[in-house]
Amino acid sequence: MLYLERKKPLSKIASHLNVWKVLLIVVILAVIFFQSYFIIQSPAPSYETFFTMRQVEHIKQTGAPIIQDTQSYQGRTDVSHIIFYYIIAGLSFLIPGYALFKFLGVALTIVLLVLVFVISKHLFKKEWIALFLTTIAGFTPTIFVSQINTVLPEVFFLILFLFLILFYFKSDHQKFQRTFIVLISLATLVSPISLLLIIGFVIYFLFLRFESIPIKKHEIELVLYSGLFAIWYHLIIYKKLISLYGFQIISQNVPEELLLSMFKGLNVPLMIGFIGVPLVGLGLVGIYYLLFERDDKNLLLLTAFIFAFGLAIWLGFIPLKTGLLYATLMMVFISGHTIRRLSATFDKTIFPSGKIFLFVFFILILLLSFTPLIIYPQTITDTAPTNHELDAMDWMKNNIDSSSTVLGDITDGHLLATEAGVKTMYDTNFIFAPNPRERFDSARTIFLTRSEVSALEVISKYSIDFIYLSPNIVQRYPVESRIFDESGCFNKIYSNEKTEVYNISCNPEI
Amino acid sequence: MQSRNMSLNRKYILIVGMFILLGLSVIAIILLLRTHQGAIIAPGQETFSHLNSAREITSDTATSYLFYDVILGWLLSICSVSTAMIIFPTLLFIVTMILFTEILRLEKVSNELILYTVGFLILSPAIMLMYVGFTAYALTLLLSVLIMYLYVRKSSWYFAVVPFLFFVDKIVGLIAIVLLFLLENVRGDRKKQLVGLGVTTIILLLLSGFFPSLSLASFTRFFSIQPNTLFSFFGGTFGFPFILLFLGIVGMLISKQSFSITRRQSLIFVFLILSLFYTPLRLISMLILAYYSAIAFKFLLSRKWGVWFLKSLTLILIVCILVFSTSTTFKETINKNPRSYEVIASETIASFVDITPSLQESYILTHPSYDEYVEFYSSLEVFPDEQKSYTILSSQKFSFVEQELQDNKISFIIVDTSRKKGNLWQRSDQGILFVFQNTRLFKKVFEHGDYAVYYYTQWDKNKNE
Repeated sequence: MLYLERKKPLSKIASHLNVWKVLLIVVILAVIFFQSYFIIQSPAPSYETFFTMRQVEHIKQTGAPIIQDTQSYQGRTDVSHIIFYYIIAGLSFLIPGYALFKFLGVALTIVLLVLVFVISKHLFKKEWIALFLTTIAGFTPTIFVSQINTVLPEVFFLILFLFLILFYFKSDHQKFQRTFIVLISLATLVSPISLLLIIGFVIYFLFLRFESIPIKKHEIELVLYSGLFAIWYHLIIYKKLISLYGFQIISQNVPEELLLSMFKGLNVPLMIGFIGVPLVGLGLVGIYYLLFERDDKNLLLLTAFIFAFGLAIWLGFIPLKTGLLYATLMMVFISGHTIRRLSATFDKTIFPSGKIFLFVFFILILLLSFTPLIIYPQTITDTAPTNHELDAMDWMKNNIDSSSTVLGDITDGHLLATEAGVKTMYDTNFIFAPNPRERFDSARTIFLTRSEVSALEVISKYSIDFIYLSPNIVQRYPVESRIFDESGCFNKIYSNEKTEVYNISCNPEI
Repeated sequence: MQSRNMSLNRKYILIVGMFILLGLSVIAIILLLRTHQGAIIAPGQETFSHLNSAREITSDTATSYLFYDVILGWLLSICSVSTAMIIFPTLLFIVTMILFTEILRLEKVSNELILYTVGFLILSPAIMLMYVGFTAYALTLLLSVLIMYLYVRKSSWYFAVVPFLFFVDKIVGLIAIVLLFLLENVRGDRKKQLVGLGVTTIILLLLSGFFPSLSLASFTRFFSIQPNTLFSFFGGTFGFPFILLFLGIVGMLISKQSFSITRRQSLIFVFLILSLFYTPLRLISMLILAYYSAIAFKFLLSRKWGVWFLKSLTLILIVCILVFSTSTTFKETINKNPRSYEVIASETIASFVDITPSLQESYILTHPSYDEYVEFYSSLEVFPDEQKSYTILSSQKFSFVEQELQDNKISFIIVDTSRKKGNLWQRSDQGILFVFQNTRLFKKVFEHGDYAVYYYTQWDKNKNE
């Protein structure tokens, strides 16, 4: 009898643990299922990922990344994210072709969700809160969309960021201190967002000072070393760019028109739309509790990161999309604090089970914010080229010399360079690029002007040989007719349902 | 006790001497490497701006000039330009360093801290670059340090130095007077000095005709924040180096109790804020930052670290950042214009002017970043309208270029198509380069790689008509 009584709690605990793991796997599988649903709807990875593909291909052929790029901007230097490209090149030996670039995001999602669960469990000590937060993280549109069809340094860095947070929480132990140092060094080599991490840590120390919470010696030392290393590395890599552009490097050389759309600043309604109302509500309440009521060092760190990324978005240091991704993830953890408090509040009432209804309601609201993605999949699939565009690339590869310059939309730049193998006038890789703003304005002249002379002047200035009209051009410059349709200087040499290619047969008169 | 003091003094002299030699070696290396790479020893525009002013002073054609240019003009009357370029800055450097280390010694700063302070100064690009070529900031710094030295020694001889500082730089002079006033007030029983300062101020303001009004508008032309010049990592030649700023702030936080007179610390803080707005103040504040950086460095060195393996890594990183930023700036300085072929090009223009005196009425068209040394070596003025210069150099229309060159009496055009500052073209047939290729009215009179000088034969067509 006694033996049976002893066994019962043990088996209950064992099955209890297994249930949470099973539920975690279910959530991860659900997220993966929906991600795969979107991934298979487009034939290729996103436009921006094509630059990564080109770098990986170059590493596989020559052992080194492209630094002196003869195609992008008709010739430029780029030394950023080299370590990241080597890592992806290594993975490409295991998974060849488009598959890696389309599905790597899915693998990163699995890692991300497991990390969210582990970190949440460390923070709140309750599996159900950890699972709840993992579900939120998996289905929040900002995070969900970031991993689809994309292999970018900023998204890869997200995983490193979570590892760093986890090891920082455990940095009381020496082995985790070493791991933290190794990881922060790697993170610095992967992306300049590591500088924002340091700013986050500084804000965190300020919070601790204001709250009169003592800062441990090892915390200061870890952050001091990390900050100096990150600054030193980026001073070396971006030295030329910094001395060339000075303070303007902060706007990353982005063309004015794109600056407004990429760096929208701290537009609150827009942010609520991206992050989702329930998460914003839970997160803001959690921040309030943390700052004004309860002192929880770990959660204060995450709050500090939200401030750091919010500041960076507001000042235009990083694009809105990137900043929101990181801020949303931090909000997920902070909202766990609100949920814990709500749960504790319900436990004090006569209806403690009522919290289940509340949390189910939150999940339903979350899923509601997720459903537009399913109803309008083109919000995701439009970030990748269609079959028509890929056909046009194939045609250009076989019929246009690789030393020719093709003008398309700025988002088509990487696609043209990678798949068509031609030189491009511009693309979305603005760091180190020669005069992207001027080029963007000049390209707009060509696509909007009614004057043959104006168009040909610009074409002559940049030695453009062909013009590629893609769906992105039609969307960016929606005019009824273009100079290419009327002028004898532009001959259509290729067309399909969605794209056209023109060559230029005139020289501008001087 | 006496022998211990003597040994400490000897050690102190050794340290100071060693670092002065090190600093001189750094300057010498820059100058030698520039000469070796075919450049004129003085880099950049400022040196030649002062030389042009000095030449105007000696020929009585100057309309406005600095006191520094007067001294330079006198110096050039007794020795050649290249000799003056080596001797004058070297003297300024040696005297400044000796005075500054004396101030630290009088303030009972330990030899170790003096060592680190001077080390940080030697490795500050902004401080060292002041002594490569001619720059008025070097004299401003020397006079400021001299006044500090005399004040610390409680000598009233600083009254003799203040007028010189005022005439070299009026703003720094005024700030020095205000600071001396406040500090003497705190010292107590210094009524004579306070009265003397007041009288000196009035006399100087009357003599110079410099009366800054109390409105903000009149001060804005002296004070403006330009982010690019504020920090050396943003490209500012006399900007704060990152590590000096970082360690300086850490040092100030650590040593908040180290000063016996707390008001002095507030004055230092205010001075550092003001230094954000005005370059000479920034250079003086680097001496202060170097001292606090030394305190921070010593603290990090002697501290017991929680993560033991991070101590060496962090200190190595600090040294790496310092050495990296310094070496990068020095490398840029070594490669900076003017190169010897640019001087030869300008001297070629001068020889044309000697042969054809009417050319003295004409102008040279070139990128504004070359104007000072082109003017110095060619004895011809550079076309002053910067915006118009860009427009003409970028234009491919012959009729427009022809009209502008004739209207503005531009006889020579200097083009530099290398991939550096001053290159306005991406291809060899862009802008005015296209015009050169398609008309015979432009004669190439000098060429060295990407650098060429063209003579426009019709520059005085309007005059003849």
